[in-house]
Amino acid sequence: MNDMLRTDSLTLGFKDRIVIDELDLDIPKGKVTILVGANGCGKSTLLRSIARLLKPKSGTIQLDGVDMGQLSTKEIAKRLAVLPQSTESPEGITVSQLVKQGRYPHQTLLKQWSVEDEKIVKEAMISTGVFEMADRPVTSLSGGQRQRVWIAMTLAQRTETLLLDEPTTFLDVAHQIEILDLCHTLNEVEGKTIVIVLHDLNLAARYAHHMVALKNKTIYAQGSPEEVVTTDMMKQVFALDCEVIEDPITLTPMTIPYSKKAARRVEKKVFAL
Amino acid sequence: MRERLLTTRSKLIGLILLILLFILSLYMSIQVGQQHVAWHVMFDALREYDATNADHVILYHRVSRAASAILIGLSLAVSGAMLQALTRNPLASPGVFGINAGALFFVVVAISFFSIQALTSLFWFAFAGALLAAVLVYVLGTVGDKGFSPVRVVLAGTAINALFVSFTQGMLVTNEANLDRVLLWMAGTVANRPIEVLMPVIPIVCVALILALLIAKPMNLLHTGDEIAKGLGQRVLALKMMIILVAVMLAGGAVAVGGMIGFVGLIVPHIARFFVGHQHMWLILYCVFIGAILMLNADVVGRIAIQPREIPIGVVTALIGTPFFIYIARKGFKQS
Amino acid sequence: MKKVFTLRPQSGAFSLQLPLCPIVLTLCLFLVMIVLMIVGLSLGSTWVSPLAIMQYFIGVDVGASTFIIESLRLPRMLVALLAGAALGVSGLILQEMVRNPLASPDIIGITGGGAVAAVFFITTFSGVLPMSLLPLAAMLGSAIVSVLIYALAWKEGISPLRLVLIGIGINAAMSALTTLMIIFSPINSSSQAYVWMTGSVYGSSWTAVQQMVPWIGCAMILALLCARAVHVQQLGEDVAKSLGARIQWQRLGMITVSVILAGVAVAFAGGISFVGLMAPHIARFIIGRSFALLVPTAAIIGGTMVFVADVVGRTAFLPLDVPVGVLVSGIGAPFFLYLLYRNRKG
Ligand SMILES: Nc1ncnc2c1ncn2[C@@H]1O[C@H](COP(=O)(O)OP(=O)(O)O)[C@@H](O)[C@H]1O
Ligand SMILES: [Mg+2]
Repeated sequence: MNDMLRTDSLTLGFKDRIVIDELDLDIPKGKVTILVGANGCGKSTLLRSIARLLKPKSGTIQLDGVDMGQLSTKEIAKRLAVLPQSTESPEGITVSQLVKQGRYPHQTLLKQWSVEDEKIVKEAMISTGVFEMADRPVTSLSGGQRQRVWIAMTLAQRTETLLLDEPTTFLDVAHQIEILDLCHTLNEVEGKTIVIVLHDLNLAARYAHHMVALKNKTIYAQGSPEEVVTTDMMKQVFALDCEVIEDPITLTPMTIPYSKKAARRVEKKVFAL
Repeated sequence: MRERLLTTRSKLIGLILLILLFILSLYMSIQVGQQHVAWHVMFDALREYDATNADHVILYHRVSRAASAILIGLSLAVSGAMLQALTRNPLASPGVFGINAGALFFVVVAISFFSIQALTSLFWFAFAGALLAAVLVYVLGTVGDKGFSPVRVVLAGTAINALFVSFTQGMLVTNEANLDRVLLWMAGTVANRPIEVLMPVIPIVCVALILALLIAKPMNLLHTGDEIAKGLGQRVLALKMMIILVAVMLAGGAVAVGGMIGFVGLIVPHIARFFVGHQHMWLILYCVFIGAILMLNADVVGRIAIQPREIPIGVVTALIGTPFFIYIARKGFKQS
Repeated sequence: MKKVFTLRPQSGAFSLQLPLCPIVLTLCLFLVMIVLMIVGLSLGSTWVSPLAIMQYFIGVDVGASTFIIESLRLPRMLVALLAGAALGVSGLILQEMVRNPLASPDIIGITGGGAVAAVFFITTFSGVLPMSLLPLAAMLGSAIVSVLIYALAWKEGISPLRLVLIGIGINAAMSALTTLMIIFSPINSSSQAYVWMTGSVYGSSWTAVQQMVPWIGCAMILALLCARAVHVQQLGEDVAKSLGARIQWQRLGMITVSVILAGVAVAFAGGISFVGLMAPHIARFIIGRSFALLVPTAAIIGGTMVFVADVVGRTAFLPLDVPVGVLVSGIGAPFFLYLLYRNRKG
């Protein structure tokens, strides 16, 4: 089976409001899948329901062909980690204490801190670059540093699947690239399946094997970045006119939006004498 | 929590309904009782009060009671709403700020040590106690590098509250003679408060209410957090001090008149918020009327439930208010 | 990295990690408590030297003092200690669960329910039924009201805030009922009821100690086992769930443990307020946030607060015996305010 995660006519919503309607989505195993879509189109909702944080109104979600409803929460937590869009760090908790919590699903009442736990937590902190601040309270860190601590926590969970909801918000460009590179490495080296919600389409196109654009409670387009990122998609999904060119470095699609300031292409003026 | 009345129009209609309900409750409170008093007598009494006329005297008592009930209800409700906004804690109430306990302690001291019986003097004692408690809480909650911290204020409030309660209990346990009197006062009551006694409180409460309405708009910013509020150009510290001042004026007045009627200050803001959400202008107006209606009806029920005895109004408010409150807590708070 | 103490035998059968410095602090607190206990046993209308008390504990015959220690002072002190420890831990669990610093055993109806039952018992059955049934009545009341609150707060699971608000509502209704009963009862039973409500360990016997120990002992162990749940839930509902925590079961467990603890305390010592609220905060000021250490610390602090208050109550105002509930906040509140002031930086 090539699909690790698959949703089957999945309907999600709050009270009477439907946010995702009858969605059939396949997320390929061992690939980086990136979800894009306008604000409020239900990306986080979808991610949360895949992580079983939100009960579907109807439909099922399958993990490796097994209905997730039949797996125990702990079982799922060992196979699938999620970083929610907004997190709140408890007062006074230090970086290492927070990252350690990622080991929760692997621990039991008796085995609370094995050698392996220690090793994995350290690795997670090093790979996200937060090891130097291990003893600082999380609340004293900058937004971007905090985000990396939380990513370290999900890494410490050591799951084959990672769901990250806008992991690069608050990060500077260098750290955005760093986090996405980290995802890329985890995927290349350990074969992890990674699902990311990302707003930067150019980075999305660069890192995704598979892209999914959501609109109107369902999928608007999916496939390789080249298939998904088109002028047409930008117009339909984001209601934005733009040009799509080739990223000069990776040759992936790159969008350049028009805006009020630049409502049309400016021709280079040649002053002929 | 999402409010039930979304548009300004529906909020306005709701307010008008509340005012009608309030008038109805007021009418009931003056009419209902052991002795029926005819309508026209009321006008007579208004025009020319005759202290020898039994009907007039009864009316006088009932009007006084209604006035205390209204005063207490609206003061506690508005004060609670403001303190909840200030501390951003849904569990805050005048009680948590130590205001009730401070007032009670001073009253017990006045009764036990100075043998003061006159209500007007007790009133000033209660007010002083409320003020002292609030100032202590504010100072303790604000010292330090970070300045005002809601958690510290709330903790200091609870400790000050406990301290005053324990002083009071100590005096009561060691001096049983006053227990009965004070117990009744603790349970809260609006009986035997002639309207003259209320006179000093009325202007205080009115001024406080106007101030509350004046700062209602900036208060809307408070729950966005200090930094955003400051960024929007609000002088946060001044606003907070203002809130505390208003809350103390209101709660101090209420406690002075009626004793420990604790629950109103906690639940009425929640009930009001259920309808109108976080816009403080509406919230305060709704609190005013819901608080008054709750207290008026509680007073009526307390008077007629087990005649000839009376159930203290604090007891009835708790018993009437709880079902509402639970209903709202179940409806409103899906996620914390 | 900070100094931590890792318990991990070679076999790897179990492993545990605890911060080092707070452990030492907890042990120090424990020693302070022991010293205070010895001093407390010495004090009273008759002075018994601390030496005699230590001799008594190691089994040396101390003559006439034996009666004073064994029958009068020790059981009373132990009841106070156990009740305070139970209240402290109960409050700690609730505050962590609800994540609101104002949470205390009062809010889950334990005190309110216990008070209604106890006051009903005192005003209706005193003289009819033996007073030794009073703890049972109180415990029953606490349990019923707690179940009621839990049931009312349930709606696709328990949300902490809803639980607290409903608890406050029910508690207000209960205290209204209590006031009503007191006001309409004759003066002698009303002052008896009032003393019960403020909390008192007057005349506690060894039977009480024997009945309290198994409950509190079991519940304390269960409380320690909550540590993992507490730490993971601090990360917020979504993160905790995604880490595989079964939040609703954990909450039910935590509530049950704290109901048992506070219920037993209230049954034998009456409505002592303040301890359940403040002991956890004081413990946090001293220890930090490791729950496994906060449990014993909150227990030590809660227990110490109550028995010290009781010693003061029975010695400082002779011939009066001031109920412990009065003094516990009278002594505890200033101490707490001092700590609050001390910790004003950060
Ligand atoms: N807890 C909630 N209750 C009600 N509606 C919600 C809740 N969370 C999200 N929504 C609604 O669901 C829609 C999708 O939100 P979300 O998944 O967060 O969007 P995004 O794609 O920006 O992540 C939005 O319209 C939002 O208003
Ligand atoms: Mg989102």
